Parts: sequence; structure tokens; C-alpha cells
Amino acid sequence: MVTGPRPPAGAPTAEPRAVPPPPGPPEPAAAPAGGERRPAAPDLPAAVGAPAAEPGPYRVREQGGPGDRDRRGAAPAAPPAPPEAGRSGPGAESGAEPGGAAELAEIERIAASVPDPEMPMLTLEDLGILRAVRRGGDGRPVVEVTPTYSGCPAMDAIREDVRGRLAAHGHTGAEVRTVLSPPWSTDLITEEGRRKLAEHGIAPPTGRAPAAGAVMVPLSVRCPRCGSTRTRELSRFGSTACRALRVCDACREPFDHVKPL
Amino acid sequence: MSGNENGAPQAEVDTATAAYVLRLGDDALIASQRLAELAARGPQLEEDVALANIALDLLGQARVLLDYAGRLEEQLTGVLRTEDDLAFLRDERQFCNARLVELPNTDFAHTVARQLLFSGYALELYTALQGSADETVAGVAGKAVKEVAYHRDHAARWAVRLGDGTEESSERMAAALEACWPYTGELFTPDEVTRTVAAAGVGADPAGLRPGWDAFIDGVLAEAGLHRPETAQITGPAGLGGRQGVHTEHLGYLLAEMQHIHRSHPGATW
Repeated sequence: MVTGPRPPAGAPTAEPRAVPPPPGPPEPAAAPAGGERRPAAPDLPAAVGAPAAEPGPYRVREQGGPGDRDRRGAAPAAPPAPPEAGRSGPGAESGAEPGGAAELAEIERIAASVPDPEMPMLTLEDLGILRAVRRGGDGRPVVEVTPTYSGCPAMDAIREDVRGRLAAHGHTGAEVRTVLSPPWSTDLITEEGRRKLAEHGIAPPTGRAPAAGAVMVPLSVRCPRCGSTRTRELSRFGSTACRALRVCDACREPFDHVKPL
Repeated sequence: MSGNENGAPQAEVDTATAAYVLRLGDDALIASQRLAELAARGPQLEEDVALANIALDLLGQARVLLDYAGRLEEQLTGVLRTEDDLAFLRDERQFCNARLVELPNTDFAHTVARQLLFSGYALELYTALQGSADETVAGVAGKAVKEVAYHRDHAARWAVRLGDGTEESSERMAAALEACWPYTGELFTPDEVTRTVAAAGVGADPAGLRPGWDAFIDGVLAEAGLHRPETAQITGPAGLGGRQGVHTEHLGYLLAEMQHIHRSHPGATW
């Protein structure tokens, strides 16, 4: 009943964003970026000695195993008791005087290093969704994050993860608040974030969002595996709200593309 | 109390703002719920994912708007209704969404037509609301405008593919437009609420959104080889419509499906 998809309006034209040459052996696409590549968590003093302290829960979530369900289910029942809380006593790791500026800086550093649940190779800082860490009206630290999309289902997990990670470092009183303005844009993904995306088989954002003008400007998107720009969009809506599905005509592999927003 | 620069008493502006935000939230919620029906039932895998993604965006917008509507209402009444209370514990007559978004997914062309007409409106609306004097409304609009631009583009591409496709697809697309068209008028009809919020700089004058919408829709229809339907607008008794809680027969069924678990198991979470 439906005719085939129209040819893309215009062959690859504009020079794509410089993407580092593809890594040698292609990695599995949605590599549950687990153990081998730790999501740039810079030397957290956290729970040293605790095995696989870092992305454990996220890996479980990626695989959608039963652990995921348990974790979600447990969440509402245990408000300030995060997954890692048991490993270090409150206050044990906090090197900063509560109430001081150093405390805020430390909170910011910890929050910035929390991995995104849906793209765990990226930290919140890489993704550009950590807005600010400041002191609230009641003196408690407030961590402000902004959603990528209004309906981003990862926001609850992110809030929980930030609270949990902070609590594990002794910052139990911090509040995580969602702010909408100014809206997130893929321009806020850092250079480091773009590099990590490409490295993990996800093409970083290129092109222009439809909101920017009446006409979509289809910039060519480079295949994160073979580096070819002979790629086309299969579906503008992909596995998560922020990704589109593309296929490479050179190596014939499908891949995700973080669509410009 | 002090009035605003246009002279409307502040209490009047606050009341109208609460009602206006509730309308925005209801439009997004019902549009989302109607689309979510197609999850796992899309005509093809990519489309299934696309429609679910669009529904999710709309649900995200609805949640922020309904949460805010509840808090605005609390300032007026002293009683707080949460986003869940508003979504699950109101009856049909208390929903003030435009009737367009509750129209059924008769076939894929109907889904496309409804999405085209609604997303076209939503993009004009949120573009205007980015400049709202209300910080939260402006914040929601700033995010939503980028999302609905994708929704509108998605619907427009399908409208063109169907309209300019086979004889069958073209006929179905035309029939779907005919069916949805009579419910577009109320999107652009001003009333006391919109007049008050527009004057206060909080909301947009719906009539002002029409020229941009007309131009866009006409462009898509021309490319799709379709014509603007000439069917008359349908209003409820005494000229009432969705904004006043007078809906088509389709909303009740939608609400029944959406609300029954929450009402059967009050307070249940998972």
C-alpha cells in the first residue's frame, strides 16, 4: 500500500563533522559498555576495593535482566538508600567540609562522572545534561540536571543514580532537581562525548534539527564502523528518544545516530 | 490585588493560567495515549518504534504540564492534585483536550492525518509559547518545540508518501483528512481563557496560530496531491467542544483503558 521510501533529498553533500577514524576491529554495536571500558570515572575515591563498583547496575539495566527489575522495584521503598550506600559509611569518603565550596566542587565532580543509563559510555558531563551544583535555599546542595527529551525515561534512573553515587561518598543530603530551561541540545555533547560515541559504534550528532528551519538539511553521517559517508536513514526514531537508525551502504551495517536536537 | 499591565485582576489571570496549562497538558496526554495504542501494533517495526517515541515525547510534555497545572490549581484552591490525580481520576467531562487528539486510529492514514494536523498546530503553539511570561510554560515550550518539529516532519513525510502513493493509499489518506478536518477548528478558537492568558503574555492567541498552520498544511497537501477538505466543522451542543469538556464518543473508551488499572488498584506502583 505504501510506495518505497523517497530518495533522500540530496546526496551526501556537506562535509561531515570530523570523526576519528574507525577503530580497528568493529565492536558489537550496543556493547553493554561494561567492564572493559570504564565510563571515564576519574579517580573517584569511592568504595575502593569494592569489586566492579562502577557500571554494574547499568550493565544489568542494558541487558534488561531481572536485576534491572529488582533495582527499579526496590527504589521507591528505600528512599535515600542507594545501591552503593552499603559499601561506604556516610561521610566516610567525603573529604570536604560540609557546607563549604569544596563540598560543592566535589559533588559536582562526582555527579559529572555518573554514567548515562542509556548510553553508559557517556558521563552526564559528556552528555551535557549536568546544569549546575549549587546551594539551595535551605543550605542543602542541589544538583540540577536537564532532560534530553521531555519524555526521557532515563531521567528517573539518572536522579536515582546521582543520589546514590553522592550518598556513597557521604553526601546524603543532596537534592537532584530537573530544570527545563534552557532546553538541552545535542550541541551540548562534549567533544569527548562525541569521540566516545563514535568509538562505541554510535554516530555523533550531525546535521540540523527540523526546528531550525522549514527545510531539513540532510548532512551526511559517517558510518562509525567503516568511516564511509554513504549512509542513509532507515528510521528517524530509533532505540531511544535521542537516536535515529541508519544503515551504511558501504559495509551494510546498521548503526545508531544521535539525531540533532 | 494589583492587576497586570492589561488591567485584568491577577486572580483572573491565575485562574485562566491554570485552566490553560491544563488544556495543554490534556492535549499532550490524550494524543500520547492514543498513539501508545499502536505500540507493538505498528504497521512495520520502524513505524512502531517511531510512534512509540512520539507518544513518549508527548507523555513527557504532559507530565510536566499536568504537574504544573496541579500546582497552579493548588494556589487557587488550597488542594493539590498531582499529575496522576489529574490523569487518572478525572472523568470525561473534566478533560479539556481538543477533540482532534482523541480521534481513533481507524487505519494508519487516520493516525497520520491526526498527527499531521495536531503536530502542525503544536509546533506553531510552542514556537509562540517560548516567549511566555510564565517561566515554566516557556521552559516546556522550549523543549517541546524541538520535539514536535520532528513529529510534524514525520507525519508530513507519511502524508506525502500516502497521498502521492498508490490509488489505495491516496484514497485512504484523503478519507482520513476528511474525518479529522471537522475537529481542527477548535484548535484556533479563542475563548475567555485564551483571551486572558494571551493578554497577560502567558499564553498564545489561538487565532494567531492559524496562518502559519494553514501555510504548512497547504504545502504538505499540495506535495501529496491532496486537497483541503471542505467538510464543515463539527461542534457539540450549544457550540461547546473539547475545551469545555464536551467530547466525541471516542474519549470515554480511551479513558477507560488508560484509567482502569489506577482506579482498580489505587496507589499501586511498580
